Amino acid sequence: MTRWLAMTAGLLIWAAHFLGLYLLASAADVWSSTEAAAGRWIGLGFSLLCLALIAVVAVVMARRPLPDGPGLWERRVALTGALVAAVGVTWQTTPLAF
Amino acid sequence: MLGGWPPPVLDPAGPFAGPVTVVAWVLFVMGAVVLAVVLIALGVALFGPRKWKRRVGGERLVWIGGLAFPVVVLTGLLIYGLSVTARVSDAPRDGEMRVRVTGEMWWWRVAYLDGQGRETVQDANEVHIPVGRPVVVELESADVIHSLWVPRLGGKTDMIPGRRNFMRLQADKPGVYAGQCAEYCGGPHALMGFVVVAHAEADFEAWRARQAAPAAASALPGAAVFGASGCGACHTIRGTEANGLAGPDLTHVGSRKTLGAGILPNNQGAMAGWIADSQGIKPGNRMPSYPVLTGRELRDLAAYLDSLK
Amino acid sequence: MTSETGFDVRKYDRFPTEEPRPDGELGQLEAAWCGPRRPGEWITAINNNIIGVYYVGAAMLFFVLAGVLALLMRTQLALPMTGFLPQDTYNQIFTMHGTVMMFLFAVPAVEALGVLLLPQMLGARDLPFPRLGAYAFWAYLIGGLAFFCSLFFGLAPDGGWFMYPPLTGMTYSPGINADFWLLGIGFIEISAIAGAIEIIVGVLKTRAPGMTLDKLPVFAWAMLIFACMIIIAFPSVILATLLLELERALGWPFFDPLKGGDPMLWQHLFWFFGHPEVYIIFLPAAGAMSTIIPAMARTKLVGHPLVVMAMLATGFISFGVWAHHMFTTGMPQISINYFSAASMAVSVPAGVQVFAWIATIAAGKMRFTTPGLFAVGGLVIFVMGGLTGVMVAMVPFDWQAHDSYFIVAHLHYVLIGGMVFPMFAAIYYWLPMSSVRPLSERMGKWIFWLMFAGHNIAFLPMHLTGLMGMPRRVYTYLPGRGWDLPNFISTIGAFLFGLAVLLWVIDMIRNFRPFGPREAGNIHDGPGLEWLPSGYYSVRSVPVVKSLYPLWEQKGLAKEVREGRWFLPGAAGGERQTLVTSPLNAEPQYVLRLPRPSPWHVFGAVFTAGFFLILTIQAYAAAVISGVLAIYCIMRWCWFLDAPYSRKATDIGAGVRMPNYVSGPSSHGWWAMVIVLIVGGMVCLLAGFSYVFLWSRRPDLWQAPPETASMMLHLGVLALAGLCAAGAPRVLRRARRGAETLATALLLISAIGAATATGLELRAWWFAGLKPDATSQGAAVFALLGWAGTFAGIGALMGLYILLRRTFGRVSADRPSTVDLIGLFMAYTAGQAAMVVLLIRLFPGGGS
Repeated sequence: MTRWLAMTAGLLIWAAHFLGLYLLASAADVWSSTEAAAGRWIGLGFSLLCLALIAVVAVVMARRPLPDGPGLWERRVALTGALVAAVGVTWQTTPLAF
Repeated sequence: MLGGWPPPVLDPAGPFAGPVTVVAWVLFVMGAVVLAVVLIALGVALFGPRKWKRRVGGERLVWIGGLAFPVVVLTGLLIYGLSVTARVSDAPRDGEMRVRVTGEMWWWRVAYLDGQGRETVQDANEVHIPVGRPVVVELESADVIHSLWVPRLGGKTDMIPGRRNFMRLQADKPGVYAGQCAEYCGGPHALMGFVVVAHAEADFEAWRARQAAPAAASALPGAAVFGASGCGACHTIRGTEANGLAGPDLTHVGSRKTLGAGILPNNQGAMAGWIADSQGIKPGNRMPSYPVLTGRELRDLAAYLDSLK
Repeated sequence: MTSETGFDVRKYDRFPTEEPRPDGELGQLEAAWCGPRRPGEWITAINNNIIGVYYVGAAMLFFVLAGVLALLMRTQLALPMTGFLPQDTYNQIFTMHGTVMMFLFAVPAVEALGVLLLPQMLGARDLPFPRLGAYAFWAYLIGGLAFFCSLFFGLAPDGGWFMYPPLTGMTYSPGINADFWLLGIGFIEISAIAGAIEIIVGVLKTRAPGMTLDKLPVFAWAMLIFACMIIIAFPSVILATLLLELERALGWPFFDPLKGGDPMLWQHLFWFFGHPEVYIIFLPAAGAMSTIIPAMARTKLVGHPLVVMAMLATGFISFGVWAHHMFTTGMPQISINYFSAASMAVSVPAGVQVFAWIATIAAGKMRFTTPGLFAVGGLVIFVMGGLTGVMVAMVPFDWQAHDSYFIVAHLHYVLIGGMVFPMFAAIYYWLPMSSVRPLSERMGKWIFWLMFAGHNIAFLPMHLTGLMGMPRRVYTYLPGRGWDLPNFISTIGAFLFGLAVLLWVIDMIRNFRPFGPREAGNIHDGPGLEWLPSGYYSVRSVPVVKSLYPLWEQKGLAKEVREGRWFLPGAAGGERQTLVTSPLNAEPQYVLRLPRPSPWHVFGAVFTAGFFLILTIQAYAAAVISGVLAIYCIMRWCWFLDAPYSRKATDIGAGVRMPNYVSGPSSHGWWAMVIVLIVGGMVCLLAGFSYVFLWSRRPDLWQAPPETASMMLHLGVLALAGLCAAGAPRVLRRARRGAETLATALLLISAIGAATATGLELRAWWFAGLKPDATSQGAAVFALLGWAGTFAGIGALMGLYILLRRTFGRVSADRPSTVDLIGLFMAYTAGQAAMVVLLIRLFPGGGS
């Protein structure tokens, strides 16, 4: 199970980031306004947190001793997945500035 | 009307369409360049000399072509897109002229609003605006989802029952701008057209004054036919007894650019044909055909309605 | 590498075995797996080699049928105001074209490819639940054909393939046309989910030993991700169709704004399914491309881990872009912008795969066979579609392009380039595996070029037509707008495309000969296990896999496999068997006994389809009868599961012994039930989202819940039900005296408890004055409780079933799987009901 989680960790964090921002915007729409500054700053903080998590996960995985055959391949999938996830999280953060 | 060339999306006539046209051109050029790059790489991969194939045949191509290059380009596009979105969609400001357009199956109910949001003048299938000023359009629906789209003036916004949406229209030159319903609403959705007429400021005031006035009393025989045929049960002509709300307001129908919601030219022949057999022209629309009227009656009716300028 | 299961991998070194195989072993294998002899056996067959062919055939039949509809549409639109088709007919035809293509062709076609290819590709003898797969196929075929025939009665749905309310509500669509869509498509989704269960368990649990994740074929990865996406996405459209049908039939206002509903709820639910749907369609085709291109270029796939990562990333990110179909609905700007950003992100993994394919072509020497042509042609078309996709991901541009012919152009480029062309590549590439003769290469090239040209001539002008202002879904258009010429050209292209398909059909008739004595075989020199010599039993013996390209890198493998020198060379005890291995390292775990053909799943499919279709035409009594018969047939089918067996273990070769029976979390049945419960959970989660969404739109309509005391009582009963359900398997395993009876009793108590609590909760709300047809709160609360009640009802049926088994002595402590699975289901049912009760009681709380 942990091997699956490792391979998809970056993407799981992406999913949490997307869901979190969407819920935040929906809550703001219902309770005050999506323009409200508070919501934007919370969103930014949350986004930086997610990026940091992806970075931590990637570094932890990269630092482990080099595994053999399948493990090495799985690590490549995990690290490149984390990279794509980080790009996605970054792009999803930009709307907070508009 | 909606002309063919240049394509209306690439022929903007106002500030809510102009930036979008620029976006379109940027995207087309970018797309063409990327496609060319891909085709060249593919060509080299398929037919190229061995030295070139070796350059292309490794993981490096995947990293550069599949990751680095798209990330850079798309980052730029995303920021550009977000800024244009913000530019063409400010919230409505106080003091801007407001019009309410309600989508019906298969026509558009138009009402001009005063400063307090009350309806002052009713019309149908056409909105008149002054040149150079943004006009806030409130979008509602009486039945199913419709979408108002006037491509030369901007993107479309849906009319969703139970909600009120807003769009802003502005034309920078006088003219007639055509549009069409862009959300499938069943039946003759294909024949639900719309027209925006932009006037120079002085002409707009004159138009507004004429439109606010009720219809003059008419001695034309068609007026009697109108009354006797029960048209007033569905249509309103201010200044007469006709006060139905189910169908379009006809007080100044003679001066409209089109009939049948953007699909017929406005002349007496078309008017007579529509009344006689609207079902044949626009099957399923909510106005019944009137085969019972004689040719004389139809001509009189058409002449009367044409007089309502 | 550390072992995943404790299996000693040094045992692999005993293979390939040296001694000659015993006489009659091959004959016993052939007898156990013998193909159909009598005509009826062609219908009761369950072997994936047979069902797979039927399935691909049915999907391609629907492709042709929906294609004919497209030609009718293009004939109508060739000129302005043609009047070739009346308005109503055209509206039905365009709705059916989209619906049949998306639901009856695209998803089933790639699922069918999986059914046909995966067992061979993985070194398995068949899929793990053959009767479930066959049931899913027959239900799909019967339901799909009946649905298509609605056209001939003028009863086809006409609301567009995404069926937006209020247009599709009772007021504006009073006929049963919309119900055909809702009920017809609704249950075809069940078919897709059954297939997804098979594929997930098949890919993760029935691989050849040694096939670690890095050696799992890319097509299998694609199918695994595809199936997981189905599990998460399809519940959304199942819920949406249920809600709309409830609104139409009973007046429960989910989407009707007059009573608190919101048409936007449908759009959110539909597109949460609808966008992943198109990636569900694309990923297996991309997996096929990643298999065919290396085979045609005779070289390994460049960037293999990147390609698998890209497919995983596509799977995830595609769930975050659904509202890009709703940019014009007036959603808040920031939400729209999030979806725009995510839509850009989803194009990155697609680009990774495209460049991996180009790099692979460059690294090898591409052969211009028909599969190669279709692969390269598909790549070009898909890239063009992807580029217009990036364009419409930009919000201001989408505000112009949305619902215009620009989108029609975009969607056809990505779907035809990303799925149809790869599908034809796959058919030409893999057909020699199932047919005595391959298809004609000469005709194949003609077909390719005609299809490529026809596609571009048809759809390239549509970009322009859209920019000229032509909206979608119009049965005609006025002259003088400049739309005439591009439309006419598009029609010519469409007929060229149709000609290509006709030529393909002709070639299939001339050359496709399935179920013959031998297949054409590996004429393209492909590297995968599916090209090993095989019969109805798939491979004679299951090899240890040491490479991603076994036929290229493990010399002599084909001969060794055919001689039975690897695992499982026979059919021990004359039974059909396949090897179950662990999900990560593919270490052998146990032997899975596969069933023989029988008629019950076929009858079950007929009556299931019958139930939904008869319900649509509102013959309620007949529908109920059909439903009861379906349940009877399914129970008869299940009756033979978990049967006694004579031997506890099998020698799978070289003295390696594997158990014949495993229960608990490693077993394939457990996995299947867990997946079913995830589907149920997704529906419940989305129903909960719908409840909160409707509240957020009209909080003024919300009334206070019934008094708290009743909530505590109901939750208490549910807790008891859950404990009983969780306890029953444990009790059975203790194997004390009377354990079987006690376990059965516990399950019955659980079933009764869950049903009672749910019923009482419904009653409490009813007497508190909440009515489901009066307000959106009523509709949402009763829908949530109805879902919980449906599970309680199924639990009651399971209680009846286990009681019957106990009565006939089929509950036994050494075969606890049935009790395990029913216990799982009932525990979940109790938990789900408790979650529902907590949500509707505690949120938003005391009421307005």
